[in-house]
Amino acid sequence: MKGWRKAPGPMAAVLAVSLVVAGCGAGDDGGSGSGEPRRGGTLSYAVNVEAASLDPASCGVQSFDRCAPIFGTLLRYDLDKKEFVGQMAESFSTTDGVSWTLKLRSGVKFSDGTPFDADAVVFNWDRVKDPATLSPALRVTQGMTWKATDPRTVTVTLDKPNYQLPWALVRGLSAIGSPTAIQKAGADVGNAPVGAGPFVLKKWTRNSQLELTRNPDYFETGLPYLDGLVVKVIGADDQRLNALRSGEIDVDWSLLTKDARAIEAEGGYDVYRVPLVGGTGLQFNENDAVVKDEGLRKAMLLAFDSAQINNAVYPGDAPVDAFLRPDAAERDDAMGRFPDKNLAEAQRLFDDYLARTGKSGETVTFTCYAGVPALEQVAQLIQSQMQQINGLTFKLNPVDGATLSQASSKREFQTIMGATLSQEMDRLYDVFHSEGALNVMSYANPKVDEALAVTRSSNDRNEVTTAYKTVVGEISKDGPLRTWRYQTGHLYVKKKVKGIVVAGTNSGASAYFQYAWLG
Amino acid sequence: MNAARALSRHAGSVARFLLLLFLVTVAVFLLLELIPGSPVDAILPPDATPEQVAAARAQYGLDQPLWERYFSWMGGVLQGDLGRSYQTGLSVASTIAERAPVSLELAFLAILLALAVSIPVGVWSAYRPGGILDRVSTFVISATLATPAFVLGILLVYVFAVQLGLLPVLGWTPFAEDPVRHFERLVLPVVTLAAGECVLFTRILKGDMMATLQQDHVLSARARGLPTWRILLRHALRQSSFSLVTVSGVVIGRLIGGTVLVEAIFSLPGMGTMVITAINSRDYVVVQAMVLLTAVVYLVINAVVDLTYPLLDPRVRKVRTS
Amino acid sequence: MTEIIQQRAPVEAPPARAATAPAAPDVKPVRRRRRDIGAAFGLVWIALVVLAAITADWLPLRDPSEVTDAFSAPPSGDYLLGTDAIGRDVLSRIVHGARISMAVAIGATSIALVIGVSLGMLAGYFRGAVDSVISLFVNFMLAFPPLIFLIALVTALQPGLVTLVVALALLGVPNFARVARANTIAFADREFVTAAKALGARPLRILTRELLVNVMLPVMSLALVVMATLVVAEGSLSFLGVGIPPPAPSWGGMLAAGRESLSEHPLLVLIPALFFFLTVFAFNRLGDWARGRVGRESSI
Repeated sequence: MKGWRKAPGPMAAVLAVSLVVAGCGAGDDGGSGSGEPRRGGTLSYAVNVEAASLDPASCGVQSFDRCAPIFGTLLRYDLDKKEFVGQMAESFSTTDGVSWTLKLRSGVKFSDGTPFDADAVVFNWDRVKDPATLSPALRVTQGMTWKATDPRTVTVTLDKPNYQLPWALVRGLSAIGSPTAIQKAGADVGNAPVGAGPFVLKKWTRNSQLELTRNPDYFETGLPYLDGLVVKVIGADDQRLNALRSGEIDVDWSLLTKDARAIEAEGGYDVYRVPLVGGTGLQFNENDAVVKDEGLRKAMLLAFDSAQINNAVYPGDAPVDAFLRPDAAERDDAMGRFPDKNLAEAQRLFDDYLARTGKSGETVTFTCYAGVPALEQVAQLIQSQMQQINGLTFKLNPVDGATLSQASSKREFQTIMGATLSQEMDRLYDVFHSEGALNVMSYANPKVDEALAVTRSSNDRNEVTTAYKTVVGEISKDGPLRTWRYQTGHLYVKKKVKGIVVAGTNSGASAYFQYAWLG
Repeated sequence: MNAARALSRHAGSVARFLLLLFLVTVAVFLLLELIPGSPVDAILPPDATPEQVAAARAQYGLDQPLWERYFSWMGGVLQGDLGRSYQTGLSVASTIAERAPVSLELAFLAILLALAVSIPVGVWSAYRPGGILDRVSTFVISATLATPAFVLGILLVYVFAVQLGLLPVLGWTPFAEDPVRHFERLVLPVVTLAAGECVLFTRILKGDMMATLQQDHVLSARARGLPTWRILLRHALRQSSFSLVTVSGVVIGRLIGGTVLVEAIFSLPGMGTMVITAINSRDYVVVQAMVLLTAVVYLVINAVVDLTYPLLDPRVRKVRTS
Repeated sequence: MTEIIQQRAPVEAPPARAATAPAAPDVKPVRRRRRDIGAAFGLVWIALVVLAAITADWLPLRDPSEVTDAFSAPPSGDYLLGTDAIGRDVLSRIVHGARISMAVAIGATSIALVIGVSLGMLAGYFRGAVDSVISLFVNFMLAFPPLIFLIALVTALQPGLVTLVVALALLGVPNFARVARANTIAFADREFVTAAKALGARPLRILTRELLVNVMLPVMSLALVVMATLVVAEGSLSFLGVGIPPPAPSWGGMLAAGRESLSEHPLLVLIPALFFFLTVFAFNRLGDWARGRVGRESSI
């Protein structure tokens, strides 16, 4: 277990990001960089789903694991220091949260030899902004304009201050591909990635593996240490663990606490943990004619029992009593928690609801996943918990994943198995702000809106943390998304692998593999 | 005269063949249209803007009416273009080409294994009906018939991978990466797939053999005192293998689309899992192409079987000419 | 689903032969002299399963969806077959799951039988254009890859018992149509049919009074095989996650869920697997026995 994840550090809203300098062998950057880094060898790593595309306009959001080695990321969030540091870019700074300056490094070239300059950044971001590119990062660019002021500088202007903007340069806007290569590839852009990152694509066998080799012209001199990196796709968590045990892969990740415990108990691995924000839960549609009733929702929240779910389906996971984990800096129990299980009170509220509406019973439908055994079991447990309220019929509507996400985005549900998962707190803005693009619950709480506005407009770390405490307290009290697990990204690394610099992703944990080496 | 008749008969078959393909492709279009959730939702992020939705619909031609989409797809198919996957942007043909080797290898090895087991078993049980091997094989056959592939697959995993630890549990290793591991991983899926075919082959071969063994020349060969193995192999098996050959043909055709379940059980990256993923992600272009492909294979193999059956099977030939 | 076709093939191949060579010397079925223990077992087992399916609600069992805190408990006096991952009684879920299996097997087979036999008899009796159209339909159904068809159809109509029965019934139609057609053709030239025709009987009367009885014998023995196939098909679909949705208990669903903890709690897989095995085995033995009874005259 490595040090940084336990100590709750100050929140990283960064004012002026001043930078780690290029050229230093950053091998001592990671926790386990013991001894002199050695060059050579191939490291293999497994993820659970194949990337749909390696188009830089989409893979920064959807498949960080495969994007970052090829394109690098403009910025990196340093989990130890809790701040943004430059990676492909030198710095990204602002004085007022509205005008931002992206400073690039000199002499960085894409692997096809063309310059990684301000025009290239503008070209890539323009593509993201074009609806026809279908980029998942388009939302980020709304209210944002940019221009290249000189070959090494891009100035960005926002329509209102947002000090959380650097996250975009870690995620959706982080990957910059060679404009020449993108134009040449045309419709095949997703299969022919050319970046300036530490590795270049050698061979991509879809649904099997992505083979990468060292980029000899990578700008951090002497890096990467590895000759090659192989990213495999192994769907099931237990299969990946077995592959790790059998030596087929050197690094694995999962979200399951029981996996982390098993691996730790077996020994021979370093286990890194990245606490994530959010999780899967029971989500209410507050626009629905029935579920909009606050008393009814409260009754259901009082019947919810996360301990039972975890005991049955996720053994080893602690029960959840607020939206964030107990040790999170942004959690303050005085501001609010999920209602504790209390069946008597739930029944009282429900009876009260019936009396108010003159009904003799109520039926609420829960849209949930079909065909995923663990989630089916959770859905059935929730159903049995809800039906402990006399008079409430809690109907399951199991559908496949695509139908579920459509029901969610079209807001055609009463309650749904919804989720939000991210490394950054800033995602809460999109999910819980009344105008957030991901607020499918139609959740509207003026206190939350106000506090979320502060998280973006303030450059004072303490003020931002306090604002987040309000947000977390309110969304816990109101429970528009009642989760049952605190999600943690775990990275399992064989002892022989050194120099791991962990990266949080929106689906777990990964690493900046240019710093890794085999001992 | 005869030639003209044959020609017109074949023209009829070809017309029927094309009509069937037309019906199958239209049906799959209609069926996919019924599935809730559009491909666009599966491609775009949950926070997509309306402009993106419109752009995506236009890019994939989803803003056109169904029949127009069908004919533009069909037009492409006739020119050898199966379209581009909504999800990956790759040409469907190359996607299938990438996945096909896994399924084909699986199917081919399964048939080999099935033949390797069922020929000796079938021959011997026909030779000694009621003997030990016949009784055992009859029992094993009914037991295997009663074990669904997904049950058999899981049981094999449980015994050989989980309990005995002899073989890797699930997943796939490309041949180029590690040949030994590649075949280790194929053992259980191939056995699972072969089990069902084995039953079919043994039954058919045994039935044919028992009939052949009653025929005059076999009886006379026996009377002449030729060694048993020689009678069985030279005289009886060769005669009896016609149905086996044709049935193997049918089986190969069927397995092209029939490895789905085994691939799903063992997480193999073949065409079967590709179709399931495609249905789940509403990647209709891929589903349409696979349905078209399996239907073509099915129809071609059946046509070939129909045409060659009279040539192969002396009994049919006799009836035709008489 | 390989099974669906696996059992379809032996049915498929022989009729082609039978149709072109009705007079060909066929294999003489070996009559069993000893009593058919397998078939007797099959009959008893199916009767038990059907009985369980019908009476599940009155049997002294726990509620199959009652969640308890005894997660994945081993068999004990309280829970004869143990509990599943979320503490539900496995025995009760098996018994209630029999309903799904039997409803699918019997329901879908009956629908497929009625439609398939009607089509097949019409095609076999009238021949000509009627035959062409119906054969086209049958070939169309057969050309469609069955599992893709099932998954797509079930996804389109949303998983559920009715959807499943309809989808599987559609898949079974061609089998019945083929057998009914072949046997109608075989019997259509027999004296009793010619006599009825001479007496001025209408086609409908001939079909229902004279031919149906003769066609039904082989059809019924096919029905047993199809039922076995459909039990497997339902399980396969549940296994792939497009079968009967939760919380309804189904054997395939239990197996798929149990697979998640195969190494820790193998019983959660082995128990439903055993029930699958016994049921399919029973149907197959009964089918074999029935085929033997039907004799040489009819082609199955």
